[in-house]
Amino acid sequence: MTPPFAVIAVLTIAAAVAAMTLRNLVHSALAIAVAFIGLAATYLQLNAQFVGLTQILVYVGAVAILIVFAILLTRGGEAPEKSVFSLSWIWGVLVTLAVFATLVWAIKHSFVVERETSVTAPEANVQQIGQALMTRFVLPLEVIGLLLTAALVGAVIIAMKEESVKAKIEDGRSKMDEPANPSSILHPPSSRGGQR
Amino acid sequence: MNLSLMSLEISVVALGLVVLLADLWLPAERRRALGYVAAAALGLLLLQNLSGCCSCCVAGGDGTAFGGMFVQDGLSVFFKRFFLLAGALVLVLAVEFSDRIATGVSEYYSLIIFALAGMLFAASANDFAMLFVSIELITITFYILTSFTRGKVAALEAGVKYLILGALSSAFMVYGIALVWGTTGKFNFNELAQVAGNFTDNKVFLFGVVFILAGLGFKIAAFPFQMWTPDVYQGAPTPTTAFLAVGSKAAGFVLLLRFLFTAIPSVTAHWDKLLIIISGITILYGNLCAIPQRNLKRLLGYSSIAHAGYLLLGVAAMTSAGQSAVLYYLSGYLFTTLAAFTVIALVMRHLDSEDIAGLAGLNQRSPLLAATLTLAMVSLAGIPPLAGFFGKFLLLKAVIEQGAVNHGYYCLAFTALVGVVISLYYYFGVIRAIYWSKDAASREPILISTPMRVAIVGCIAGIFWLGVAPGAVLRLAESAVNALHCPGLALN
Repeated sequence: MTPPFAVIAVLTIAAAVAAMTLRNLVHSALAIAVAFIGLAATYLQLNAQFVGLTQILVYVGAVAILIVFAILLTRGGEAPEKSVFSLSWIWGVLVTLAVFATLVWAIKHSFVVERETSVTAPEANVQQIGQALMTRFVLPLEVIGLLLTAALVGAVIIAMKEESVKAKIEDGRSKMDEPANPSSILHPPSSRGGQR
Repeated sequence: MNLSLMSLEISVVALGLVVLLADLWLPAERRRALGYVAAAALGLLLLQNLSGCCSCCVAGGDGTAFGGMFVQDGLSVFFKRFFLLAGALVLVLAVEFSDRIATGVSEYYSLIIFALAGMLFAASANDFAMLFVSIELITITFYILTSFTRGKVAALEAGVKYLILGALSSAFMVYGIALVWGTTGKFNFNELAQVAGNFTDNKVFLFGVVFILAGLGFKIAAFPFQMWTPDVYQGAPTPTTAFLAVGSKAAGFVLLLRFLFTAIPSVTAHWDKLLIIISGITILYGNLCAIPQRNLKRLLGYSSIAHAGYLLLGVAAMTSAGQSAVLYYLSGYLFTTLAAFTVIALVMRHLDSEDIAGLAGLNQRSPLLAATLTLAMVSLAGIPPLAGFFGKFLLLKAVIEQGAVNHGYYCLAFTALVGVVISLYYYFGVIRAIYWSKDAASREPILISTPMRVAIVGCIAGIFWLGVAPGAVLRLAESAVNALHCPGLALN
């Protein structure tokens, strides 16, 4: 165990424990972001550049921010009154221990441990991954691009303002056979709007 | 790089983008007709494919692109025509349905076309990367299409259920792909086939294969992965349900056939028992659960599970007769299911729920629709001389032929027959509601637009054609499955 690894490991675990125990949800979210960064550092230290950078981009950049947004939009971040410790923790601890024991058992009995000569891991840096994506896997990459287009269109459609839909449905009840007026972005002025 | 092989996919994607962009310039009242334009374009592509490919298949139009990742052979051509036809009919249905979509009608059309593009890629996928990417393109587009009428709680519920279970099954499949790749180091199906024989007792490899089968089983709604089907079928807008029932299921089957018989034939050969059991349970589950259903779309959801079971008969038989029967049955299923959902969309337009009681008096309101739904139900039940009968006959024949090898096949054939007998009960319940119900809610005649009428008559013609003159399609199906067994494509 090298000193840098020890520092990163302690930091990551401390941040994870903090995320679990802190009362204030915003503090927990920040702590979990630190834990994500610690994991990314571990990956980078293992020479897995791509995984490390992806961890930073996806988890620190997107997931942590998403969590913060969710907290801010839903409950404003006030701390809960009652203690975070409860009886159900016993079960949680038991499950955790069982999972940990299984993992330890699996690793102990894995053939990787018994292998004497350490195999040199194949080099996979960001450049190689980029080249593979743009040459051999260019077709799946393009299809993923199409997928993201479809997903983006769908996200806009599903997340658009609710009231225009309701107005439309009430409208449609009365005159079902007329062709709809599917204004995509601008919802039509409501018929009652001017008279109020 | 042979880009001309992909011209169909490129055209379909371009069509989807054009429809998406046309929304910006078209006045609102003309956007609805955009669906007809898109359907006509798909029809043209289908005609061009039918006329063009007959000559190019002979001249060696088959081939691979992107290092064997994308393959164009008899099987993929068969399924591409299938998907184009289904897409065109679903678009016509979507135009009919568009007055119930509050926002984004042209987005609805273009998402259907994007899902169609995913199916076309799936038909040609010969590689785990393409398999996963095309399945995701289909599934993620369907999440959106399912909850498109988000004013309805049922649609949102269906979308969320489909999203969660779909994500779970995708996770299983990716994990399986990782395990298979980790043990064999092969991504390409043809390369995998050469080494798969060495791994038949490698547990990690077999776990990977099982996980991939779980992901594909979710797409086709086979037994342990069928939970989503009734809720999603019921909640989704009717055109989405129709496309889900036909296109998504067929895409699952083309990938399943390719995976089982091109990538891992040496493993599949040992797994006849697994396939027999899954097929039998799927048939019984779908048919038994359909009996108490009162909602027509939910009933068709359970019936679609049962049909996945029938289709698995052909996969379980593991002969080319069985596989061509799968292709034939799917063709009949396309016309039958689309006809049924078209009638549902037209008849139930003023009703909040798609209850079977809403069919009362349909015979007086529109004899054409009543006859269409009756034909669809009779064909789904498998009564001669319609498409469903001949498909079931071929599937059962393929299974019974294998009975000499393994007696489990006789049990499977018997189970399938029991399933058919059970299904007669609920299919005829629908027909009874059409002709012999007393209290009709409404007696006003139903107006059918001309393109809709063309689509309905086309479906009826298809049902009769496949039932009476099966020769042409059967020959096509037989030549298509040849591609599975002798991948005569040079590997480089």
